[in-house]
Amino acid sequence: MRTAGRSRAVGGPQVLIRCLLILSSAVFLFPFLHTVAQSFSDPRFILSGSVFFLPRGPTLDAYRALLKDLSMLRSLAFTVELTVLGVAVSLVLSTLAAFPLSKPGLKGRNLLLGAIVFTMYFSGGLIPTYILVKRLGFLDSLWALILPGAVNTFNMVVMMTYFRGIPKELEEAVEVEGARPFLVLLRVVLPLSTATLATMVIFYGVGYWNTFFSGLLYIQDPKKYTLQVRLYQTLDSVDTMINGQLLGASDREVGSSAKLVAENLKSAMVVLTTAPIIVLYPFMQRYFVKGATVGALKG
Amino acid sequence: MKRRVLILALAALLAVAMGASATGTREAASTVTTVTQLCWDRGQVPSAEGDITKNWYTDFVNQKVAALGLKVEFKPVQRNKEAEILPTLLAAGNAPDICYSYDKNLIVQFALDGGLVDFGPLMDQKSARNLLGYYRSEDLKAGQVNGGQFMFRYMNTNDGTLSLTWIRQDWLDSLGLAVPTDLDSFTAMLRAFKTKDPGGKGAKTVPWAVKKSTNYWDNNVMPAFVKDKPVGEKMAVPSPLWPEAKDALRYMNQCYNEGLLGDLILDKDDTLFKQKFVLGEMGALTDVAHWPFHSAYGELYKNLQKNVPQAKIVPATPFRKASEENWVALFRSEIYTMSFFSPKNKTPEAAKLAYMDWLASPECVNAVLYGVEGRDFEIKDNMPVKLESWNKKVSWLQPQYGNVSMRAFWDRPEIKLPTEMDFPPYQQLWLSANPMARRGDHPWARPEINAPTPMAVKYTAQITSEWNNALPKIVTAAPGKFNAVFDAAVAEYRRNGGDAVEKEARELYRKIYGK
Repeated sequence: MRTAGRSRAVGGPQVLIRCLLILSSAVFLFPFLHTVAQSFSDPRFILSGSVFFLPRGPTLDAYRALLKDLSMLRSLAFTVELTVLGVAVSLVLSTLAAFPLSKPGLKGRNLLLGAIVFTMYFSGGLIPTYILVKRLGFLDSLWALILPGAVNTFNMVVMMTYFRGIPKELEEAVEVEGARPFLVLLRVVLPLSTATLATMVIFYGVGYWNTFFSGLLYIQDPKKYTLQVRLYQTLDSVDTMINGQLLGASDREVGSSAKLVAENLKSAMVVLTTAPIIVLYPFMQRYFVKGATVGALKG
Repeated sequence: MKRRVLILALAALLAVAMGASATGTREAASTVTTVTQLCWDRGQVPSAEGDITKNWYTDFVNQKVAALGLKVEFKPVQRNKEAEILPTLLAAGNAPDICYSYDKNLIVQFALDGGLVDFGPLMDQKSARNLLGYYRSEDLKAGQVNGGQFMFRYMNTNDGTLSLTWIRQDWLDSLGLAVPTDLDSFTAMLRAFKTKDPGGKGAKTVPWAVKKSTNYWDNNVMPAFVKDKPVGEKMAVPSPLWPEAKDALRYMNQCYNEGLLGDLILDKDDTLFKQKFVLGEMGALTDVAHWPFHSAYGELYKNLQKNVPQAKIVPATPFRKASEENWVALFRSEIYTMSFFSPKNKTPEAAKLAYMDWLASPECVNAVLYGVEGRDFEIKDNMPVKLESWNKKVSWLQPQYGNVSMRAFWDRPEIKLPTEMDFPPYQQLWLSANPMARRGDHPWARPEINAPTPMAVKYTAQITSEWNNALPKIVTAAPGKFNAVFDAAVAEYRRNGGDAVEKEARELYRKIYGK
């Protein structure tokens, strides 16, 4: 019986589903493995097209060149600062918006919610938003990258939906003790919402880590370029770092072999900018799945 | 009560944090006029040299313009997003005092809307000595809109970066062939490469290759089929609508079907193109002149010689009929490319002109091109020669700060204009190719149309993209289907806006040039 049960579990459609899942995983995984392999490979093998999923002529030259570049490290530090501060601000603001809106008795709730949801479909437009940010004096500051998108409507609605699902009795238990709504939020709702909050940390964290267009638009001080802007520079300007700029004189000696080509630098840059998020994901995954589905399904 | 205190404390914390981080602190008022200049950040400034807004060059500029009562601040935008960001900055009234762009339509539109400074009335021998000394009257005219001097056009005359054809010299030598000088000898050479396989690469041999990413069919191949001298109204017409386009693409189609042209036109990101060259499997290629040497592409010639030590390449311009003028680079030979302009704002226009004039001075132009004498270059035999530090300190200046001009000129009459000295150890080879690929040596150019072109703005990007996607299909079509595929692509091009763009171009040409 047991054998029959087991064979039923992995037979027929199950095998097909698993094969499809393995195939689709491979579709996503292989380009990344190829990128990692290129980032560690000697340009000679890259140029002759013989690098696939394992590095050939292993070298750390591309990483050395990138990490030697102070501006790259500055961008890394700035992006970390942006992500930490941005996530904190977004979490606070989203929570403070979601909690009252989760209360059915809130006066004008539908109007407020409607106004907030409206922003999911319509924005102020590029130039008016730019003028607003400029007049607020935020140009060239972190706040230009945080405040215009501090509350993501979708995330706020997910939080609001989750808060609504918390049994009212739990809140009432502390309210009868005299607790005001803010204390209820702090002492009851938030401790019960760790999965959703962790999910929001990922959502907002990835968003801030990947800040790109607002970084291009609002930031003119090179010391405040985000990592994605630097990545874009690297990927887009084929001659950006190859033309002897990142390299010391020894790398550029006449007749010496080029240690870097566009391909391995670009790959190393992609690995450097994506690695922190990839490292973070496994630790947050159980919260992520739980938080996203719980918030999405309860209505 | 506690709740209110907590909320107030949170709000106060946020406000304090915002105040502390927000930049844009105003500097103390001074009698010096501050002028801001756009710069394109390509990420090329070596970190040891500072950054795009603060480095030896920005210090040099400020040191020199201090005598004019000016202070210059540099405002970077990312080079490849400039086309999106600059219009936003202009519309929001936050663009730098001195801007530059390739988007002439944008500049013309802002000029017509009254948003740009007309330098014409301000310019005289005193205020614009350098500009008037450098620009000929026709150069100044190229920057005029309705008679107003709204632009100073960037003259791209001697950079040697037009496209040409590189051929494997060792393959020619082993077959006893001369460098082809016309289409017939080029085709014969390709056939010999294919049948006699001088590289010994067998089926992997690619006699001739062009890339998908750069459509050299019109610049390079079409000149071999052009019947009349490329001047006048015809030059305003998009290349797919030229009657000779079909002949040029038929030639490429025939080459493809005969196995003379590789299928690298299908190579999405040019990776295979590079590989074939580096592995010594490519007999000839048509591309931008410095492609085999430039480190931006991976010093491919150097890598080729590592794989095939006897490999040598030679430049050629074979796409012409026997004994006829070389019309190569038909569509890429514009003398004027980028334009400098200034949006109207509170900065005094005289100060802007003073800075623009300094930008056109030998002191500035030569600093951008050669750096500091003694440190980055020296004068040898009355010719500037780049020194070791040029690469570190100067090579990144011109592509990022632009300049009113790119053509070197000296206020010391004994100094000769230098010839390009890049790409060691291949300078001699590069020198032999350079004259074939200099814009200044190609007298024909697309006509300047300084008027709004709404049809071109509306349709060009879309139809160009569609046409670029159609090109590989045309080139690789089966011989019997070439006519149908080509005609369908041109009909589509016309239908989706090509006709409107052509009509507009012809009408504007007649309006501006009289016929």
